Amino acid sequence: MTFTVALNPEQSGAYPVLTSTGDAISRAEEERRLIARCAQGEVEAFRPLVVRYQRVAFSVSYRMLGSRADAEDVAQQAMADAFHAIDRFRNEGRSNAFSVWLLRIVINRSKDVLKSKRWSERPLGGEGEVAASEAVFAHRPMDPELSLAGSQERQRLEAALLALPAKYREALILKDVEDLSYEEMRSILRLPITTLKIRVVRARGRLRDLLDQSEETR
Amino acid sequence: MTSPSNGQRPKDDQPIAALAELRQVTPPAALVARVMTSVAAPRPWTFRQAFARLLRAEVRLSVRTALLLAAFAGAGAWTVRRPQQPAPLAVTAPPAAQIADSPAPILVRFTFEDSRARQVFVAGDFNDWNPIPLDHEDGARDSLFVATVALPKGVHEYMFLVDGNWVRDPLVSDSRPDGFGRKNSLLRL
Repeated sequence: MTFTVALNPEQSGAYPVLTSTGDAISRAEEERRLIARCAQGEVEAFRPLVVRYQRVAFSVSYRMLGSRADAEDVAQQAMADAFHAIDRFRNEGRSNAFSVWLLRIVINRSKDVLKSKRWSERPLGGEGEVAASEAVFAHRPMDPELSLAGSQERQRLEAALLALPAKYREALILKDVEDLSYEEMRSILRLPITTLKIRVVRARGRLRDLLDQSEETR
Repeated sequence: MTSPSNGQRPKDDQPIAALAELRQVTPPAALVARVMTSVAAPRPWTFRQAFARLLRAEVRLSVRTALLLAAFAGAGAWTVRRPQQPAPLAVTAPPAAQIADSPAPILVRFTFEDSRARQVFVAGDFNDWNPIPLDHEDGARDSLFVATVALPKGVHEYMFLVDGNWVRDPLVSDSRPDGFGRKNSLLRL
């Protein structure tokens, strides 16, 4: 059995990663037991799930909103919502069912924030753009020589992603950032797979256009 | 992939591939603690939760408690379904002490019961012997005729007119001769 364990899992967002197929089954079984204990009202049983999925919940909300503070609020509220509604969660034998369910809550919460703040219409380079300090803080590259050029490209990419309409942004975040399958995206966004594929293709095209525009203005 | 709209856009997938690097985001250090705090905080029940808990609730009763509950339920049902008592068959008069001090007219309820009677009137010196019809009261028996009349304080003579025949009040024994060989019922207010 192979574990990759960070010294402080809560700080890094890491959690013991099980690599073999048997371990994956053990992990799914462990998750199922944790969820069952949560459904019985055992609060501490939720902690391993929070540690395990805090990165993806925060990452998706951060990419949707472009603000660490809002993303933290959304991730926290979404995970609390998940705990309080966990008796309604149905695994139904699907892999990653809990993370998919959690991401649906995260996406919906993020959309609520976007609607309330009307951020979806903000132009590229406006106030909705990710601050450079935040982007560097989020990335934390290890090689200082690569950090300057890399961080600039990363900032352009983050800004272009945020400039996309929300429906394209969520599709790219789930598909190209988080590398989810179309089946998982269908469960999260409740859209037909054909629609999702079309949306991803169009989103990629819009993203390239935005990057080209920002390249021309540099 | 989509075709370039201006012909100058790079066609490779490098920007798209670079999106995967955006996955490297470090969540705030306090996120787990925040979530666990909010989860541990007591939360008011929603209607759905309360209803679900009610469905799951087990009710355990002792035999004595169950019998007591059944007795209370039976008593409650009997009270609800008990028919209303009929009005008393008597001329209703206020207490004498009240009447003596009362300057205003006094409401007197005349009642007459006869299952064979079709029309009943009351007449007396208080209305110059002009008959006042008695009616059936809602919810009361069909044989019961009722009329309420405002009378001044004093002594009054009266009779019932039942299907054309003068009849004394059968429930009042006090009477006075009418000068024609018969007697009128007497009401003292």
